[in-house]
Amino acid sequence: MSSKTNNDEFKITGHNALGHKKFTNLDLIYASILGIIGGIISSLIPFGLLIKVWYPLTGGTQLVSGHHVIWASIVYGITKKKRTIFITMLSKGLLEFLLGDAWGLIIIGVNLIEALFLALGFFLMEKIGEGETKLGWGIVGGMGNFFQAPFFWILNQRWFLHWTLWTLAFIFAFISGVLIVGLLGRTVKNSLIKAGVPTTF
Amino acid sequence: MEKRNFNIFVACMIIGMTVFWLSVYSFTILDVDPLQNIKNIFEGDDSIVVTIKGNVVEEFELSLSDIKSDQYLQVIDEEFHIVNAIGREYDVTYSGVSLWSILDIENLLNPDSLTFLFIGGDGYYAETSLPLSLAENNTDQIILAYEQDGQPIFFEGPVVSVVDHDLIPDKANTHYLVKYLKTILIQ
Repeated sequence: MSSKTNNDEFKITGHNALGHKKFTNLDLIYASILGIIGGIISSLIPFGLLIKVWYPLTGGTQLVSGHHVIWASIVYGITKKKRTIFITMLSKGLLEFLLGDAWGLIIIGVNLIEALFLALGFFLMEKIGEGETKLGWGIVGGMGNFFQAPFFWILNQRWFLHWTLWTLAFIFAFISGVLIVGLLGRTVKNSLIKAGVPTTF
Repeated sequence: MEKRNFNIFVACMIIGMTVFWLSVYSFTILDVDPLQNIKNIFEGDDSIVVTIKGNVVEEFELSLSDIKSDQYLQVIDEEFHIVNAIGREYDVTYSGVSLWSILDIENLLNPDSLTFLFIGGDGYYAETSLPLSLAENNTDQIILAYEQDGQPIFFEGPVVSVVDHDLIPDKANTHYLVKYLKTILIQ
């Protein structure tokens, strides 16, 4: 461990498990903790109210929908294993299901597909050299969060609503992904590493 | 400015302008008051929350205190069967006023009035219009609810339309559960 206290520099925290096929205990602990936090917050805290007061259009609450997925981007940032994204989102989905989500078992599938898109996004961004940049994380976050909006609206069969509401909801889901999942997730990840939280890569 | 940053800036501007103009268009075409929810927080029970209009004798406005008044049939702590779009079923207890009792007591309907449509203050509207005969024959199963599980509907209200699933067994009645209810359009 580094003895530096300057918050502008990253501490050396890695356990050097990058490339290892097996999960480390820390990987599983991080995925479980973040998944449980995410499950509780997604189920019990109506973040949409933050939006509804000043932006009353239906679908506007998608602007904060990124909080459902941010946990998966944080866990990837400190483990650099795409499989931990799936463990995190599976834990979160299970908890949401157990806490009585209106979508029943489907909510677990939704979480796993969000994980898939997030992992795919990280894979693509790393391929083009944007794996650690704000732009890269923003696009990944947008990809990870975008999927759930059309999925839920189609599942909810809201065909009868005006097309502008559909379009805005999808754009908001993407923006929320960029800002919350991507940029905020990256900032939280960096802060955790600076604070000395051990990474596993 | 680096070309990369400039491109990011241009992309943000395009998305921002798209959201702005789509929002303006939505607020206008769907007749949504952008300040409605803020007004609901600060205004009391006497402000107008629901308007009945369309094919009616006279446009009629209701405040929350009107809706709660005993001049109309009040349905108190009644359990409603709810089925959502994926078929998940559950029961919710609502208190509210019978829609038909308002239409009937205030003599609002024209002889050729046939259907009603719930419209929310957030641009959401019910899937389809429902026949007025449904409300007439089931006075306590189509209500304008102001309480859920004994508590005022604060965040999604103050008034929500509720139609029991027994009346529309082949549809998801969550599509008729219109939050922030603002208008009842008689056709």
